[in-house]
Amino acid sequence: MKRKGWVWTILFSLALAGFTGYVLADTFFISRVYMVVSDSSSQSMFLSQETSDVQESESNTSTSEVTEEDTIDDNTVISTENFYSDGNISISITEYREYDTSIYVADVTLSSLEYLKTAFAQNAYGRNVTEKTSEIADRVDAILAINGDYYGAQESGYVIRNGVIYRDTSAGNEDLVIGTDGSFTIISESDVSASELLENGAWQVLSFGPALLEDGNISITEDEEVGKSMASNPRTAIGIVDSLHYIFVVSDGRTNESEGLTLYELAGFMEDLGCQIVYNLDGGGFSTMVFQGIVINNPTTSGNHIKEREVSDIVYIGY
Amino acid sequence: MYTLDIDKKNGRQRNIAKTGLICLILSIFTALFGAVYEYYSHEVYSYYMLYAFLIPLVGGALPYFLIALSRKNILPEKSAIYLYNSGLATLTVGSLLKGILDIYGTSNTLLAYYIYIGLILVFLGLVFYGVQIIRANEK
Repeated sequence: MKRKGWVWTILFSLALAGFTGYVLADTFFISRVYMVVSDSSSQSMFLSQETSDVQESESNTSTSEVTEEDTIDDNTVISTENFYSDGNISISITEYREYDTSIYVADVTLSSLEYLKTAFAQNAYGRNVTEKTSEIADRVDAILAINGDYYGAQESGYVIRNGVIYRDTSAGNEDLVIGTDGSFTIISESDVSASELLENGAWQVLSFGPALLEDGNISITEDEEVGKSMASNPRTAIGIVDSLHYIFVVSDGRTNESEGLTLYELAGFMEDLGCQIVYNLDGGGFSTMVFQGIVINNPTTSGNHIKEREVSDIVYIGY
Repeated sequence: MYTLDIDKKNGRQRNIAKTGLICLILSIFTALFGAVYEYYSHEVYSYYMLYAFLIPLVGGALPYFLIALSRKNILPEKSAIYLYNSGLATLTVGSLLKGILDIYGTSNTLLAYYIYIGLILVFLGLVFYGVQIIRANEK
């Protein structure tokens, strides 16, 4: 009986260790591509809008005098270390120092929401499909990019990107819906389905949270945090000031130079910037901001080691 | 013959106490593992990680010590102990793994198997022990 007991113990321990190893590999390493993104699928929502715009423009040409010189001026690209502007996109980068933390703010103004996009790592929707924010940004020619909601780390929660539903299973999360009209709306996945959101004109749905500001007021308590996080951390957030005027924020943290922000501090900071709605995205070591191909913050990996980490998606400004 | 039975029972009681001691050591190890993991997790907490040590402590060490101390109790057979301990081990590892995934900010549906299998094994261990008690009382 004693020998049988040892055999049982050894076999059971091996089975438990093996299964645990598989769960860890499945969670962190085994890459599964569910869908490769086609470029054409995401553009359809704005094509119809563009067509009507062109028709409107043509009908106005006869009545308004638009000179060739004006057109050239509108499309002139001005690009410096902290500023970018052309006829459709204007971005200015400012670095703040508050709460013993470096905070990077991108003030974005667009002529159309079609320039606010998202992209998946490896151009594919899946689990453990990752790539650095700067690499994805480079591939899609992003002018400005921040890390997204890291949908690939979760098995549920809506994923609607560039007008396409990739995941419609509810996690009960509080989501940010960016409408085709440029508006921001905070919804609960418990109240509305992904297909209803798409029918109502959702262009992007980000599922992380929480919402930090709603109607210009802080919507979290002082000690509220993401999931199990209880401290100051690097952060990524996106906010809207008014129509087609957005604020992207990334803060450093976990280093001697930057302590990091609590969610409440981040909410207060973005309230001061004039934001009406602000939504928190994945933070910690994943917080990254890329402007014109350069990572401008100090992303942390393995504690306080400065190195960019791979993410599953980005939010970006570009063509 | 009576003396032999007493010696045999004392020997088994010592084994039960030894099993309780092993559970206590595993509980301390689990608590230390959780504390060290939390220390390096940038103050991201998971109750599954913090309190995983309670499973071998409350489910293992405590009942085993009580059975060993109470001389009137019917001591569980090894088959019941193996099943019960395997269940506790499954639940403890599952709790630690859930803690790791929580702290990382991810999830995996496969974690549910730790609960199902762990509870089934614990239940089977208790059933085996229960049957043993019923048979002993019938005698």
